[in-house]
Amino acid sequence: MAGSGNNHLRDGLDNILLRIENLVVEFPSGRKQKVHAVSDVSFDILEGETLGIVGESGCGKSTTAKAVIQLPKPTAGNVFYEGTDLTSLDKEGMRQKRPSIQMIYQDPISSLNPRRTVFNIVNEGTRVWATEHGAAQEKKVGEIIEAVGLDPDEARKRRPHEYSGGQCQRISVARALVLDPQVIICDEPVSSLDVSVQARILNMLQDMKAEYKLTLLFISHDLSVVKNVSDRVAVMYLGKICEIGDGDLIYEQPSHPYTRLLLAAIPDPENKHQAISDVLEGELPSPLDPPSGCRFRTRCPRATQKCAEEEPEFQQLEGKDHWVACHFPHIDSNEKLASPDEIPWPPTE
Amino acid sequence: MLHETETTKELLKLDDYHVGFRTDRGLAKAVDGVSLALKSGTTLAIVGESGSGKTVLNRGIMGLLGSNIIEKGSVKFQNEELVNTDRQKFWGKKMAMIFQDPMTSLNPVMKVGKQVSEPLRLHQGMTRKEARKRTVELFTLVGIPEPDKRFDEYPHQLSGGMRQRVMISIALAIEPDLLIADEPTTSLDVTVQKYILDLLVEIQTQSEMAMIIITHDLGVARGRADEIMVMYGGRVMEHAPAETLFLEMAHPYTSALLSSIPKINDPKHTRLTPIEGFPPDIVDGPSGCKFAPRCKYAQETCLETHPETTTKGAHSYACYYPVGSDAGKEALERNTKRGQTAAGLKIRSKEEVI
Repeated sequence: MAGSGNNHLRDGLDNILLRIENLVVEFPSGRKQKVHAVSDVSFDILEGETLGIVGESGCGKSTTAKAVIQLPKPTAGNVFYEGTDLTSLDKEGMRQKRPSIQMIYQDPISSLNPRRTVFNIVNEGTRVWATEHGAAQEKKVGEIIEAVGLDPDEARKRRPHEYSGGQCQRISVARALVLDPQVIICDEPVSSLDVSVQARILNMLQDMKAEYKLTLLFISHDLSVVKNVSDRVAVMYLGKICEIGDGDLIYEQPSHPYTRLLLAAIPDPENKHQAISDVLEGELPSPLDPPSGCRFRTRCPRATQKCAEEEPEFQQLEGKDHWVACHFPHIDSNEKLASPDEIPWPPTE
Repeated sequence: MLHETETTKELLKLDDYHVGFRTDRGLAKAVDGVSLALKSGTTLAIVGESGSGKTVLNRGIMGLLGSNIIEKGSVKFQNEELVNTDRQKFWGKKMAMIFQDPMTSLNPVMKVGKQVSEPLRLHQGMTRKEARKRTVELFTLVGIPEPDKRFDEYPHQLSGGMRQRVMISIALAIEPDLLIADEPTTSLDVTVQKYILDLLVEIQTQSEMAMIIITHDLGVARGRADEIMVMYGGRVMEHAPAETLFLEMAHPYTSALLSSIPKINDPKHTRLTPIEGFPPDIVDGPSGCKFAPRCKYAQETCLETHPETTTKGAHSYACYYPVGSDAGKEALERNTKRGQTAAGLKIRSKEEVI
């Protein structure tokens, strides 16, 4: 699948906050083998925008997010934050940037130190950076804790285990917000929560985003959640982006065969893509030895010889903010509900 | 909650079933009076948030809860009373269960093939060779590629979806009359989830077994189950044929649960409607309706006594002020006028809830 080329990057805009170019993350895996976790991924995020990354487990979405904040440093590629290349910074230079890019993790309970009070956990950043002092510091932390819907006086006395999963996720959000960051990376922030709690955390993230003028990079395997939160959506498969663009466009008119299969699998009864009857055959290939050409070709119902030889580049669809990396995308807007026998096979160029 | 059906064979019948745990604070009423009837060849989905008692109910039916529990009421399986008896004789013969987490439910130091063929040899007296042959057949049935090779692999060599398929083949090995699947797809990707659910339904229709799927996802329940039962705080809130539930939703909890889920067809940034408040304490919970403290419809009567179950054909619900009824509309109007419910919950627009 996809994805070489940087056609989909938006040039010439002055409010680009994050621009990731040709990001590669590889991990050594013994016997001179390498895990190709993220291969040549590029995207950009404007100020105040939310980019959602969606994909199945093992597709490299968390690794991408971590590489953005240099944990660990990517194998190759550039991460521009406000024009500065984070990959070129030394340790101290990066340290200075860290307060502005914060992260919220998946498991709210294990990502908080069980032995410290909640107030202390949220206060950590302000203490280390000494952005405020004394009473002002206390006041600021109290305000943030209140803003996420918790009681600051209780937070002074209580420790994480005394809070529920949803409340712990609020604490994580407060901890991320306390240093006035510009970007928050949310790595599956609601995956371990119940649906009713999930709704509250998602609403809160939207409120906080508006109030603190945040830019979000939101990662989830839940397609409905990603659609709800994001302005733009990137679909990843085996370390590459296969489709990126406006969320409504992608969900309305999925063009990459993989996106279509992913959407067809959502168990929402009102899901109109359920009519797609192609089946995702086989298993995810090993990231140790990804397929040549398009990485999705081994499971793709439309794959041809060309897909094995040539890696597809991003192409724009109908001049809109909708980019797909596929040789044979589903372009016709009427085609999305077509029965499989109407889809030309083998696909003609 | 009982459905008065003609005397067709009811495989499983629960009548006012209670499960309590002894704790330091008192009796934790995890399942608080559940009645249901399940026929062969049908699928029941049990939906609810964590802590609603759905897992305890099913482990109670299976008899997997240990000795610290107090059971009351009646569970009849093939007309045999199960409550307070040892149900081990049914395991591996008539009842089987698929557990939530395929990663930890398999023995990591035993080849997967052996884990599937063991019950065959134990319960059906097959020889090693016969059991292997049957296991390979089962692997083929659940869609495991290269079944003969996989037989000799260990769980860590398989992906999550493959492991769940192994779990399913263990459960199916003995052709059970009742299969309970406890969140069978929660830890799996959507594409794998679809495959596993379709597979379960296909096998179920072929073999005429009865199935209970426990899930927190109403989307999973709809379209795959014949009936859906919504649980909250150990009680049954609503029970109806799947389509009826969505068309004529009566209980405020069912409706609240459904509207808190992000929908795939909603445009981006659609504001969600969360359920305010917290799940009830099962040791010292509300004396009236368990959902009353979080319910927008709650009136004084709701706080006093738990509503009796109203039955309309196959649809039953436990609520004084059901959604869409005149009483429900009045109750909601009254609460909106006074700005709060009888339980003191403020009526706020969804923008105000944080």
